[in-house]
Amino acid sequence: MASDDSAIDIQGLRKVYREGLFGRSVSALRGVSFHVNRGEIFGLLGPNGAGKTTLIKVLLGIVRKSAGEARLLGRPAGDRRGRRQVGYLPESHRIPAHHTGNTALEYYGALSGLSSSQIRRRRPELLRTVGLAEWGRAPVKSFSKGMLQRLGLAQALMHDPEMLILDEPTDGVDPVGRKEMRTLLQRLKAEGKTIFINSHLLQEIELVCDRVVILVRGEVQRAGAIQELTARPETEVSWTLAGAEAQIRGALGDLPVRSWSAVGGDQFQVVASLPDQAAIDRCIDALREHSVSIVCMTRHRQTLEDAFLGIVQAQETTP
Amino acid sequence: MRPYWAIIKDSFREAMQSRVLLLLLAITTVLLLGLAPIGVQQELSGYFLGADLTDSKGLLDEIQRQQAAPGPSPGKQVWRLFSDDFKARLNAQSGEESAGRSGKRLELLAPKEFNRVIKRRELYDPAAWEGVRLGRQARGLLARGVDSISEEELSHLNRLLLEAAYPGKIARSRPTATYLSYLGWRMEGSLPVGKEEVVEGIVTAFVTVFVGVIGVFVAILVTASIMPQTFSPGAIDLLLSKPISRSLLYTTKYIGGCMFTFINAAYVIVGLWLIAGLRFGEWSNRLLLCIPIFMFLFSIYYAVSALAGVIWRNAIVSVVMTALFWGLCTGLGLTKSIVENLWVNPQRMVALVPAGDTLIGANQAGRAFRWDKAQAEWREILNAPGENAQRSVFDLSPPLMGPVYDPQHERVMAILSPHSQFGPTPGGNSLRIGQRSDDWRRINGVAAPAGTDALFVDARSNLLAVTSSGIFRLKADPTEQQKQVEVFGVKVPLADNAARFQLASSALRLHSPLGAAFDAKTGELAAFDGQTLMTLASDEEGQFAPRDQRKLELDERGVVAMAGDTILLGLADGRVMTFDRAGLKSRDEWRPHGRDTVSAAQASADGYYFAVAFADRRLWLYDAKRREVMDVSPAGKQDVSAIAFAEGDRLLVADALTRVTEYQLPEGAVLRRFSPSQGAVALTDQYLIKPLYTVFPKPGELDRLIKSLLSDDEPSVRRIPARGLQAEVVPADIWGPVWSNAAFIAVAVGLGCWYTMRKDF
Repeated sequence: MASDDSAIDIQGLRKVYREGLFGRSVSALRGVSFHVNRGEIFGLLGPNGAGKTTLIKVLLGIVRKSAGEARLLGRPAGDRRGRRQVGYLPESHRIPAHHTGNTALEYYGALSGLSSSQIRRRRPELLRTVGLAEWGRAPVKSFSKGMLQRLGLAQALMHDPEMLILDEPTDGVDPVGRKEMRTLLQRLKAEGKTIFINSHLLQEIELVCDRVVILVRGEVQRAGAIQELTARPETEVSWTLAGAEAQIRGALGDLPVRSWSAVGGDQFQVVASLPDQAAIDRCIDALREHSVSIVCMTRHRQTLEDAFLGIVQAQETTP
Repeated sequence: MRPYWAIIKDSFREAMQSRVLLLLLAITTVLLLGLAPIGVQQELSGYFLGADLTDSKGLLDEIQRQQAAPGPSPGKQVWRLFSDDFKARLNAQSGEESAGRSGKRLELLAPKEFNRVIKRRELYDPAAWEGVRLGRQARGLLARGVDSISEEELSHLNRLLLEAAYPGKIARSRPTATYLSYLGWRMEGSLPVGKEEVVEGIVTAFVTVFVGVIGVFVAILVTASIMPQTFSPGAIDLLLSKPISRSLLYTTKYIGGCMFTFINAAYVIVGLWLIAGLRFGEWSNRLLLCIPIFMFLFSIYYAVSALAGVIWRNAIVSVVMTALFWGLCTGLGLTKSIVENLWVNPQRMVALVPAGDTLIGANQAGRAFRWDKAQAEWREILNAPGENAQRSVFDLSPPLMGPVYDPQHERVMAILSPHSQFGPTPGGNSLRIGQRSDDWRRINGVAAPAGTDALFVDARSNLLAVTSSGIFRLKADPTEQQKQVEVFGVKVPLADNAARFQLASSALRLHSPLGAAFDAKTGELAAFDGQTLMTLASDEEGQFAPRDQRKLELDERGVVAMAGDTILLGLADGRVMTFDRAGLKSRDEWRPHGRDTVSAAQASADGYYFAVAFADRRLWLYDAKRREVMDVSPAGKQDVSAIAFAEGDRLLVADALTRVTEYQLPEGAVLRRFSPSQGAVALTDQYLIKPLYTVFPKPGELDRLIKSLLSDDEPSVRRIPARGLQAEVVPADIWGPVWSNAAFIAVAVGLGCWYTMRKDF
């Protein structure tokens, strides 16, 4: 539920763009409502064109809302005092080519209201944090995409904001960099900062986010904790069993087997859906009682990606 | 303000990091280094050019003749110093029967030979120049001794000696000559202006062309990408997420763009200032003021470029829009100038004359009209049969002097003004007469006296012509055809015709052009020539003699109105002064419209009211009875081109080109309107060209400000006021364009801010 402590509170948010000579209207957001608690890492998910970037721009006042309510850190979206407490890393951001790493941080730090001494104090630490300690004097035009992304994150952190809004933060970043970024985000969360992430990399989101919202065609489809979204009514278990086929079938009895295949010799691959852990335990006991050897057993869990694809595909089949 | 300083600082950083800037600075350095070796020397003149030997053949013949004659002579001295080769050629030429081609060659060689001769100290021999009349300067140099003067003085002295010895064959030289040099190599021939003018010309040309045109154009090209880059996706998101105002972001980016030009303009102009100071000794601090002026000029164009940049976010579109804007401004200014100067303004009424029950007017193009009440339009009068067919679309005739109305004979008379904006009017002093009985058709009368500055009709219906040397009265019938004789097909008026105007005053020692007024009631005349104000009264025989005279030494041309006990003087510098008619004692002085030239002044017959019109076409009224400025606001007070008084304190005011309104003073109530329909061109000018011109900036007019900064002269324009001070040169309004351009910048930047605030990025 939304409260005064919400970092983001959105109620019935709508955005309609007017395009072309005749002002054709395109609805980017259709009554979006959710909230983000202070101090959590929140993921914004959705396919292309779902309205994720529009939502972020409305929150920052870059785009004006058409209807509804949006509050950021207790202030109306776009309010300059609210923006003062937010660090933003846009998707495909462009830092002017005449800057070096140092001057870019100086420029964006000053735009955030920092004094020269504050900038000088904070800049080396931040460059070290994002892994660009040796690149402060290098021109940004010589930076790789991943380095630019790191520099973008550094500028977002420059004024030590209360909240971070990151749009595709790991875009172009190598796996090592991603891990470092995850560690950084966890550290920032530990410091009490709120982090709002929009990303297509669902594994990353699953690894760092506490809660997510899934937007499809400008509407919220699901919102909640990762565990809630990935939870299933049944558990899927697969075994590699050794023994005579009749013996094995006898042990499994009337268990709902979803697939059965021979994998060579007297070994069989069996997949079954079981309601809970007790059923799994009973099944293992039965197999051993029938002298069936359990070569391998794997318990499958639904990932965020599975859940996301399930939701999106279901939505796309809806007329 | 910290974020906004950061944006401006970033613009500086961007400019300093820009390769284009470095390239420009390098090119500028090369240009300045190219300019630095230019030298300007002012010396006593001596050097001969081909054109200085006005009769080269005659000169050489004379020298040869003198050389052959006995006794000392300048020719002998010169011959002695000629080179042997030249002497041999001269001798050979004199031996030839046909000296055609060889003579021409010698004439080409002669200047060089004379330039050698004037460097020799042995040229002067007192005996040889005995009898030759020398000027003061030559005598002064000779008094110092030929051996003790410098080389430069020697060349000058020898040149003067030769000029004195061979008058008519050698052109008289200026006291000093200005020479241009480059890398120590002196260019052939001297310049016809002084050193200061040359330096000023070089600096002005460089500043105007390289900074004002090329510099601004390059700056527009280079800065066109700033706004599109700032507002491009990815960059603008980052900026707008910061706690800054959108409008201030746009404004500071705009200011930042101007910084680029500041760096360039400062570099060029400071470099030029150093060159002018170090090389020419002209430390003109005013030159440094050109830096902000050029920044201002650039900022006009950049306001358009920035606005296009934020809307379309494309540098090429920005440049194209700026180029279109430049074309529009230039085209609009040109169109306005052509339409108004060649078509609209010539139609403007500049004189009104009540003529009984009708009204007569004259426009700036020297055409006279009468009001046709039935058709509600002006009908041309004083025109010869077929004259209209010969007129071109653009009427460039000078305005009429007059017309004046003779109520007794019901006729109107005028002459063409002796001066037009194109100079003196040839053959313009023939009297043009139109009689009511003849439907005001033109009859060419006698020639008016040369230098006529004003025409009046006295109480006895005699025509008076006022000149600076005297007052002339026309005694005979003015309609009598002027006698002419035909010489080789050209009709030449007989001189004795002018004698019909008889001198009716003592000789006046005034300077033309005069401002004059005539009081028909008293027969008194007032005249002012810039220095002296005088009244003249006529005796029983009609001879005018000065009554009162006062040296004012105002050194300004003026117009005069006189009635009752008051004389009003309106000056070219905008002052209006009143005097007691008796004794010419000063009363009051005003400057109602700054330095705007007074173009006409009229007085009501009873002397109660005076009306003054200004060159910027405003009206000012004075109540002489109460001695106070009248607070009456007749319609069209802002566009007055002619004024006149009719009987009964009725004021006639011409405005809006050809409209005339009659007001009853002192109330200012409208009695009548003479309002013809206007032509399509005038309507287009009034409702399309003028409003657009007013709204659009006038960057081209900043030239005047720059020129005024670079020279000591006050900039001026020739303007034809409504009446009286024809073709007066008046100070140009150099600050007007600054304000209009500043207003445009404010509007354009304001639009950019508004767009930025409203736009979803």
